[in-house]
Amino acid sequence: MSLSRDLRDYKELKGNMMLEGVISEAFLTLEGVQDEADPQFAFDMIDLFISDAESILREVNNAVRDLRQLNLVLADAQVHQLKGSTSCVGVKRIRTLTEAFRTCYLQGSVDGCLRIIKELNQEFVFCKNRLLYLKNLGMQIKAAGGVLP
Amino acid sequence: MAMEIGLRALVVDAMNIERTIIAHFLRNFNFEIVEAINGQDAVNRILSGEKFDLVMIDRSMPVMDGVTATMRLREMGAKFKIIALTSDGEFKDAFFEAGADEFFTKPLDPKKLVEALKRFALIA
Repeated sequence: MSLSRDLRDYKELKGNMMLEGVISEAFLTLEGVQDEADPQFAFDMIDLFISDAESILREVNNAVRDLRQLNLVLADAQVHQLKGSTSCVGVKRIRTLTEAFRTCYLQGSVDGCLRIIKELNQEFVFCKNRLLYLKNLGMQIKAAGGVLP
Repeated sequence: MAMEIGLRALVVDAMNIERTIIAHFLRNFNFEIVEAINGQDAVNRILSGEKFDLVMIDRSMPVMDGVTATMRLREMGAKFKIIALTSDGEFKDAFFEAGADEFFTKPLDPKKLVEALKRFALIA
């Protein structure tokens, strides 16, 4: 793999991820505050976002696992936490779903809440894969001595 | 740089990533950072005698939310600056009424934070 091709791919990938709503200007802000003391801060935040989101989704899924004893109050609180953490990296796709969940919750639409939780799990997998691909490509470039665009 | 060596900031948020990002920004200005995971944790630290110059606090947290915590901290006589940082824009008035000095919506804008810290004379 040539470094120049990787750099091109990285730039294109970031652009695509912005259009997809997987990252936003928030991620660019994280890149902007990287320094010598913390050269991969943005990538570390990808890992933290994934870790936090996985923990939240576990709680959400547990809250709705038993259809006879749904705990939508807990699910709503957890989904709201997820909304906050998506803004750190700019995962608009997931943020939109968290807002849709809140609407369904306030309307008392149990079916709507359950449908959106299912979509949240699916969207998270998609976003996680994209974020990790970006991170791994970026790390590969840095390891080869490249400077990320 | 922080105006004085030894300025301490308390970062209050239930989410690890949020606390880490805020702490990263503040450490650039030589703040010593202490983290709390909810409003009650923050209140307990003040009750135990810990001193802070700045508190950055989220709204939605388990056990005790940010607005309630802000109110409690002011009732306890806390004079440090309190900056609310939350994704809940509709709670701006509630935070100011509770005693917050500034309100930002997430994601944190480093430029706005710097402006606020300068306005509060916490950094040069």
